[in-house]
Amino acid sequence: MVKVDRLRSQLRRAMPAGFLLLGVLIGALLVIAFGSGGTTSTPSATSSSAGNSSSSGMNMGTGATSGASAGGIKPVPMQQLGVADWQGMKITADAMTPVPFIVYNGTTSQEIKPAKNVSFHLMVQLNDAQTGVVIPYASVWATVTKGSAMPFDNRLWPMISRYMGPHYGDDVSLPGAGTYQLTLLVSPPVSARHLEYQNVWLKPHRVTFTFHWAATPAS
Amino acid sequence: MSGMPMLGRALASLTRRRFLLGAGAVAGAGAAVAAGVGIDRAVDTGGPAAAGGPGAAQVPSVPLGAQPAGLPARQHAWNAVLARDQYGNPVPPLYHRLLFFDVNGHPSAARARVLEAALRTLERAYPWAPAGLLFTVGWGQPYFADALHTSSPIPVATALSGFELPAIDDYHLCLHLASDDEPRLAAVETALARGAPLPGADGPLDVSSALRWRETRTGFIGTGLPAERQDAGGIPAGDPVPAAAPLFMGFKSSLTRNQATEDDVTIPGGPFAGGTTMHASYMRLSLDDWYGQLSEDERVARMYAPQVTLQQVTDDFTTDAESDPSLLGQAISRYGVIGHSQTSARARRAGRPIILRRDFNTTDSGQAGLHFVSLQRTIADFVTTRAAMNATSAQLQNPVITDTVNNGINSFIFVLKRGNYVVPTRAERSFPLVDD
Repeated sequence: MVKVDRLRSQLRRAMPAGFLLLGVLIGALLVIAFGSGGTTSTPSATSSSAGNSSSSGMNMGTGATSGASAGGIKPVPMQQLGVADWQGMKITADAMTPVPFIVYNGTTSQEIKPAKNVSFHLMVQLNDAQTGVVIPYASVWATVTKGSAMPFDNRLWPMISRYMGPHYGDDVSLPGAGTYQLTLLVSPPVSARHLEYQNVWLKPHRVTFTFHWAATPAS
Repeated sequence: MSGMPMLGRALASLTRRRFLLGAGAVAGAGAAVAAGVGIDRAVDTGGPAAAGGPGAAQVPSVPLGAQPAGLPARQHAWNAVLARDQYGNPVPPLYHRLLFFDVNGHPSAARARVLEAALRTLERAYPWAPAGLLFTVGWGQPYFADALHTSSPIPVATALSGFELPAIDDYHLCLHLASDDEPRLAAVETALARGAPLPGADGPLDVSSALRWRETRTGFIGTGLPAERQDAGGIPAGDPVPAAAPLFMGFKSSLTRNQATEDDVTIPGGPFAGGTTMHASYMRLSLDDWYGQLSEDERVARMYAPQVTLQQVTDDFTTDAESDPSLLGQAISRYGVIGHSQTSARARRAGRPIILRRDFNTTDSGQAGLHFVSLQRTIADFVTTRAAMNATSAQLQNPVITDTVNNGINSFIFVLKRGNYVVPTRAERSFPLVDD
């Protein structure tokens, strides 16, 4: 545990000013440890919608774990797992280098370190599709499945970082290479809204991406 | 309950059929009721099934059978036969099974007889107790709306938070079985759904001509059982579930004053007077962070309230765990964490909860989960309780609390399915509202 004041000091140092308020309030600080400045983007995945859900798929290729190990964790070039649109909200899921991060519950905080068998840091960003402005105050539950196996099933932490900004994330451990399904349940943002948002994102929305993970565990 | 005023005519015919079924003299009648008085019809005379409609089955003529004396009139009256712990809290049956069916063909008196005969066979085979067999029969909105084409006394289930998107069950019937004998429940299921013989049974059990089985959910609750079965998805490695815990999350749920009474949840009037309503949801548990990231004190804060200590839970929460909802504002503003019991307790009426939990854990599909069976006078009471648990407004007072972050147990349960049912009295349990 670290003291609150120390955490807030870290927050102030780590965040662009525009994100400071959100960081203090939401209270999850992502400490970028590896690779973010040198990540590479992949082309956006195609997506399709049917009823209340949409899906997309992409092949992550075979070079996901190239790079030197640092602190027992290999850098993972940032790779897109999928992109979808929900009533003008752009939902983007990326995999990147696993990172430690700090979570804050109002009075205490705790550093969450990547597990030894971690594969990547899952990062989900919600943005206005037209303006690119980040949409906060939602929640995202992520489930990764492969057949009947479910290697990841957690609510993602609301999170901020210097280079990636506000997002929802957690470290994910996969049992190995293969094709996986990533399902995101995105809840409506809980906040007051300007009028342009009064009729959108009023109910939870499920989106499913299919991705191929070729990487070996990062550690 | 909705649609009650429209059910008056149906009630009249229902009462006549119950008379014919001979099920009117159950509770307090003393001697066993004579079998099948006046209804020994051999053929199904009603509806598409009788005409060989899709999915319909020939409905055999079965003896109705006698019913043991002294059974409670209310199906949901279980507490009187449950064991008590050292504080007087009822101890729920160890093993549970939810069987879901649709009507096979069209609702008819003949099909009602098949079901009633099977249920009476079970009542004769096993005592009404955890050592024997307890059960309730509940009927879903699709039974009333789609099979009977009448208004339903209960609404269709819906998502009950902004962070869930459950499948909504469309079953006609839910049979909740409970016993301390786990193999018995499996045997009863195969006897009912597939006609397998059941040792000790002296009457008909196969209901497949009247009901089409669709799904089974299984589970357990009781000291030691979750720890024994924690090798499941959603539970982190290292056997973190306490050996004595009755539920996967490590805490008790059936304290007597933390529950509505059976009287509280009984419908007071109308066609289903004496019955109750049931909500059955299926939740997946995700306890990696619960056990991997949180200390025991932090788990107490989220299960009860941040002002509650582990010692209080152990020493003081013997028959209640209200966790003082008047301190919720302090929890939000000072602690940045709110507890499940504290938020839920806001839904109490005259100091008492308005739902009666009959929930149990599961490892269905290899995943740790919770089958949340709840009884209440109206489904609205369940919705009220769940809304209190959501504590959505907390985020607007302190954004460090979101709908699933630092908010009770909301971030550890993922709702997969929801369904609503009405549980009639024992006398009305088989195909309610079916005319003779």
